Amino acid sequence: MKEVSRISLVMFVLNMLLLTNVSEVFAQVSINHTQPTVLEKTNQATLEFEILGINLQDIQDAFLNYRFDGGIAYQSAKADIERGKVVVTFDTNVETANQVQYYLVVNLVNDEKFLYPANAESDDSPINVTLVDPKDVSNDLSGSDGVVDFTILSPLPNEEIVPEDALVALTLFYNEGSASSDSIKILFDGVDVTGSADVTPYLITYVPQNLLPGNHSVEVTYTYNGKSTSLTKWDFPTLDPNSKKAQAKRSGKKYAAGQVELSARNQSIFGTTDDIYKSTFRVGGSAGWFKYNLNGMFTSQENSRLQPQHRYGIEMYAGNIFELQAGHIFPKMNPLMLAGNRVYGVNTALHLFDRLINAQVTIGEMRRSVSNLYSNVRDTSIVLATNLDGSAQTEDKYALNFQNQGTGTFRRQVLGGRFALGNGDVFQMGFNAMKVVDRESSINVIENYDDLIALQPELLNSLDATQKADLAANPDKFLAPNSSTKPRDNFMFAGDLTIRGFSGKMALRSDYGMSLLNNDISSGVLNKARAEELNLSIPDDIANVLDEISWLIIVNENMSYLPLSFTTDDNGDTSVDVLKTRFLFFNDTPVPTALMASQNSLNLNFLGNNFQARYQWVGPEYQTLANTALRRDIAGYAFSDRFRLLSNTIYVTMGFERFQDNLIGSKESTTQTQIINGDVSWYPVSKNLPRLSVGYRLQTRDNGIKRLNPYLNGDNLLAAIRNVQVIDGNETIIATPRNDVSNQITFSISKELEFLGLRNDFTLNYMNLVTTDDVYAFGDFSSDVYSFGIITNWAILPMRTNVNVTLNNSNGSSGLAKVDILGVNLGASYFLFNEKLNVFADFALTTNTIKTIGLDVSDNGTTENLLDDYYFRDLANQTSSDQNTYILRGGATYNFNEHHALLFDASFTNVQVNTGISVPNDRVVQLRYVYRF
Amino acid sequence: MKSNKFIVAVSIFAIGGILLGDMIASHVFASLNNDRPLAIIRRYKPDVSIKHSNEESWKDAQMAAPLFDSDTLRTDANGYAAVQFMDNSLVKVKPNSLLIIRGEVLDKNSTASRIAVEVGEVFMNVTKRQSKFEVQTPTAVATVKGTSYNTEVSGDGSTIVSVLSGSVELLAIMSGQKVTLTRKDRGKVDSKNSNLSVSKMSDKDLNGKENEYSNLDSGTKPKTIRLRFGNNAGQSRQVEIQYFENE
Repeated sequence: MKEVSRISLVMFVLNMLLLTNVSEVFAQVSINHTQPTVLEKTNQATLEFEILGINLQDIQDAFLNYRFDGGIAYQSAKADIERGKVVVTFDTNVETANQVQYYLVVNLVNDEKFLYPANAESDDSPINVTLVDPKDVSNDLSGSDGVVDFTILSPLPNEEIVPEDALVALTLFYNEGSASSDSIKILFDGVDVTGSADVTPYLITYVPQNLLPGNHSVEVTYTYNGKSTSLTKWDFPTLDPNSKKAQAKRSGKKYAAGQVELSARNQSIFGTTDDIYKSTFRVGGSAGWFKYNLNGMFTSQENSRLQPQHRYGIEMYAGNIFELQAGHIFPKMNPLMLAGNRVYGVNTALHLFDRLINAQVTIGEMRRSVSNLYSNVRDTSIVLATNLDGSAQTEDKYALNFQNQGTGTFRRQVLGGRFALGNGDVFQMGFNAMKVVDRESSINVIENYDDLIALQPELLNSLDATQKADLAANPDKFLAPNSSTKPRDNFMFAGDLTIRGFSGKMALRSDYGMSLLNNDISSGVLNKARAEELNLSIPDDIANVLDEISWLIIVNENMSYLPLSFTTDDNGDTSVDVLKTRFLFFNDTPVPTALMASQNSLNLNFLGNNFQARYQWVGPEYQTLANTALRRDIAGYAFSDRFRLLSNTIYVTMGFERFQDNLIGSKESTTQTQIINGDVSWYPVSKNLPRLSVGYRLQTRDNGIKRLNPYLNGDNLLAAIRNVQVIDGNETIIATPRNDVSNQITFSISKELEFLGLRNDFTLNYMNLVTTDDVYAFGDFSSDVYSFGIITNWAILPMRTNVNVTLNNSNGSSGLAKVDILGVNLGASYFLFNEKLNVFADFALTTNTIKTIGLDVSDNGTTENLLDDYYFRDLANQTSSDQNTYILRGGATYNFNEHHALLFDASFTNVQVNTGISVPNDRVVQLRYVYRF
Repeated sequence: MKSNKFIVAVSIFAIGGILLGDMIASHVFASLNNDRPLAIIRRYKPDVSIKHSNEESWKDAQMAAPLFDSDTLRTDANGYAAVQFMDNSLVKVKPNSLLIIRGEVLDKNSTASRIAVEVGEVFMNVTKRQSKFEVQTPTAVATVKGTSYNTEVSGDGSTIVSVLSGSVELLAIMSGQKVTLTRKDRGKVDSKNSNLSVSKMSDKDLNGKENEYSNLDSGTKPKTIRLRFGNNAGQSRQVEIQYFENE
C-alpha cells in the first residue's frame, strides 16, 4: 500500500473490534448490551452493560450520555457496578420526547476510554430507542371470565417490589353457587401454594418467602362445571436486594442509610502483576426538609501522574430552597455549556419564592495539574539543508526531551453562573456564563534556556563544562521539546427560554450561546509590542480593551477563530477588518456566527399526536471545554410526529431531518445530509404478547461535487486519487466528492416464554445497514448484526441462567475489509442456604476473523503525471487473522445478614491469535466486604 | 277518643315495626356484608390493633388481615398502618389514630366506603374508579373521587383537610358550610362554632407531608437479628427475631 486509502483500514478494523487502545489490541475487550425494544418514560429507566476483557475494578467511572429526539447536547448519568455489570439509571420522563439516543462511556484508571457503540461520537451513531408512556395498569386490575369477577390488590402487574414487601392479594366477586370457593387455587411461579395462602370465598392473600430477584408470576384458578379454569395471571419483578434501587426503596427517607465497601485484588494483566486495594462508601439520609448524601472512593491506584483516582463528594439540600454539592461533582447548567462533566469543586444553587428566582454558581477544576517530566539535556545536531552532493548541512544543538509518558497537563479551572427567572412550569428565562481556563503556572514548562535555568538547572548535569559554557553563551542553541499541550482559555455565555402552555401540551424551548476559545495563552494578551512582532499594528484603544477584558478571555493571535480579515498591501502594511457573514435572513452582517450556537424546539401534544419541530445551528468555532460531546459546524431542521393507535399499544414515529456543514464557507465544499426515518413499536399491555419494534432509516449525503478526471473513465474514474476539473483550459484539483446513500433496518422483539415449565425472558435484535457510495469505488459498506438473549428463571431450583449470542458481519471499503465477530456468553447464578449464598459463573467466547485486501496505486503508465493515478485492489497483499478470546469468571456472594456481606470473584482470560504471537493470560482474583446500614 | 287511641297505637306499632324491621334488615345485611372484607392491612408497624364489630377484644394487626364493615383500627404512639381497600384506594394511618371503617363492596368496580376518624391523622389516595369515598370526623365530612389528601383530627374534634391532588368537597357538619378544595388547598373546621376556613399550602408543607408518610412506610419493613445458642455438647440453634425500629 503506497498511500493511505480514504477510509483508514486499520482504524476501521479496530472500531469493529470495539477497541480504542492499539497497544492492547490482543487484550480483547467487548461490551455486551441488549438494547431494549422500547423504554418506558420513567424517572428510573435502567440499562445494563456487560464489559468483558477488563476488570470492573479498573473502571474509574462510567457514564451514559443520552439525549432526546436528536438534540444538540448530551446529558450524562453516572453508572454503577452491580453484580458484575455496569448499570445506569436515568430519567426518561420527558413528556414531549419520542425517542432517546444514548451511548456508554467507560473511563479506566489508566486514562483509557471505551465507548459503546464504539463510533457513537465519531459518526454520531448512538443507540436509538423509542420511548413509550408507562402502561396504565389501573384497567388491568379488574377483570372477569364471565363467571367470576376479580380485582388485583397486590402487587400490581409489573410493579417492582423488594422481596420483604411481597404480598399477593386478590379479591373475588361471583354469585353464590356459580363457582366453588373450595376449588380456588393460587399458583406462584407455577407452583400450587394454596395450602400456604389464606383463601376465602372473597379474598385470597399469600405472603411469598425467599423471593429470588427477577420476574415472578401469580395465577388463580378455580373449578367450574368440573373443569379447571384459569381466572387471571399476572407478573411482577422483584428487585435484587443488593441493588441500589432496592436499597432506595428500603431506606426511604431515614436519617442515615448507606454502605461501606472494602476490597483487595491481585491481578496479572498482560504479564504485569499488581495488588490493588480500594474502599468506597455512600451515606444518605434526611431529617424533615434537610437531605444529604456523602460518597467516596479511595484506592491504592492513586497516582500523581494521572487524574484523581480518589473520588469523594457531599450533597446537601434544604427543601426546595438551597442545594450544595462539593467534592467530585457532576453539575449541569445550560446544555450548550455544561452537562454533567466531572468537576472537583463546589456547585451551589438558591431558589426563592417557589423557584421564581434561581441562582446557581459552579467553581472548581475539571483537570488537576500533572507536572512535566524532562530527561537531561543532550547534545545533538539538526539538518539545516541537504547539499547537491547529498551531504547535509548540520548545526549543533542542545535538546531537552520529555521522559517516557512524561508530558504533563495544566490545571483546568472552571467558574460558571446561572440566573433564571421562572420555575419552568409555565415560563423560565435563564442567563448563563462560564469561564474555563488552564492555569499556566500550575506546572513547570520549559520553553527556552532562561526557563531551564530558572526551573530545573539540574537537567544540565549531563553536559560537560565546555558544553555548558557554550550553551550559556549561545542560548539559541537550546531546543525545547515541542509539547502539544498548551494552556487554553474559554469563555461562553448562553441564554435559554422555556414557555409551556395548555397544561404542558405545548412547549417551546430556545437555547442560544456564544463562545470564545484561545488555544494558547502562554504568550499572554496581544499588545502593541507583540503585534509589531507579528507585523500587525493595533490602535491603542483596541490594545486597552483587550487588556481590560483579559480577565474574561485572553485575546491574542492564538484565538481559535477571530471574526477579522487581514489584508496586506504592497507596502507590507496589514489592515484589519471585521469579517462579514450571513445571519438569519441578512447578508454581510458583522455578527460572528461561527462562534454561536442555538437550538430551538417546539413540541405540540394534541389530538393524540406528539409533534416536534426543531432548528439548530452550531457554528464551527463554537467550542466549550466543559462539554466535549457537542457536534459543531452543523445547521438544519428536523420534524417528527408520533401518534398512538389501538388503545395506545402501537406507537408510530415518523421523522425528517435536513442539515448541512460548512456554515461559514471555510471548507472546500458543503455537505447536505437528509434523513428520513420511521419506527413502529407494538407495546401491548398483556404480557402474553410480544413487544415488537421495527425501524427504517434512509440517509443521503451529497456535497454537490462530481467525480471528474479527464484522464480516467469507467471504474478507474471512481478510483481516482485526485478529483480534477478542467477550468478555462487549465487542469484544476477540486474538492473530493461525496455522495452516498445509507439504508438501515432495525428489528427487535422481546417476550416472556414458558417452556418446559420454565419462565424465560427472550430478546432478539437485528440490524442491517447498507451504504452505497456513488462517487468512490471503495466506499461501500454493509453490516448485519444479530443479537439474541434469553434469561431463564428455574422455578424448581433457586437458579437463574442467561445466554447471549451476538453475531456481527461487516464488509467495508467495497469488500476490502471483512470482519466477522461472534460473541457467546453463558451465565448462571445459584442461590443456596435461604438465599444467603449466591454462586455465579460466566463464560464468554469471542471469535474475530478479519480479512483485508490491500489498495495500491497505479500510475496509469505515466510516472510524471500524477493527476491520472488511481487506486486498485492489490490481490497480492491480502491478510487474514483469527483471534479467539475466552473469559471465564466466577464468584460467590455470602450475605451474613442484611448488613454484612462477603464477595469473592475471579476471572481468567485466554487469548489465542493465529499470527504466532504468544499472549500471556490475564487473571484477576478479588475479595470484597460490604457493610450496609 | 277511642279512635285517637287506636291511631296512636297503630302509629306506635308501625313505627316500632319499621324500626324493628330496619334493625333486623341492617343486621342481616351487615351479616351479609360482613362476609366480604372492605380492606386489608397492606403494611404496618407495631403497635396496631383491630377490633371487629362483633367482638369485644382488640387484636394485634397482621399483614393481609382483613377489615370488615364497622371494624375499628387503632395505632399507638409508634404504630402505623397502610390499609388497602378493595378498589385499590390506600389509606395511611399515622400514630395515635383511631378510625372506624364502614362501607360496602357493590361489585368489582364499585365500592362505597366511609372512614370515621375519631382522632389522629390519615392520608388517603383514592382511585379514580367508580367509588364513593367519604371521611367523617366529629366536625366535618369530606367526599372525594380520584384524589389524594390528608385529614387531621385533633383531640377537640377540629379537622384539617389538606389536598395533594384532585379535589375534595368539605362539609362542616354543624354550620352546613361547604367548600371544594383542590391541590394545595387546606380546609379547617374548628370544633367550637364549626367555622370553615381555607388557606394555601406551600411546597415545603406539601413535601413535608409526603416525606412524613414515606418515612412511616419505610419503617414497616422489619429488621432481623439472629441469635445463636449453643450447649456444652456442641449443638447449636439459631433463632431469628424480627423487630421494628422506633424513632
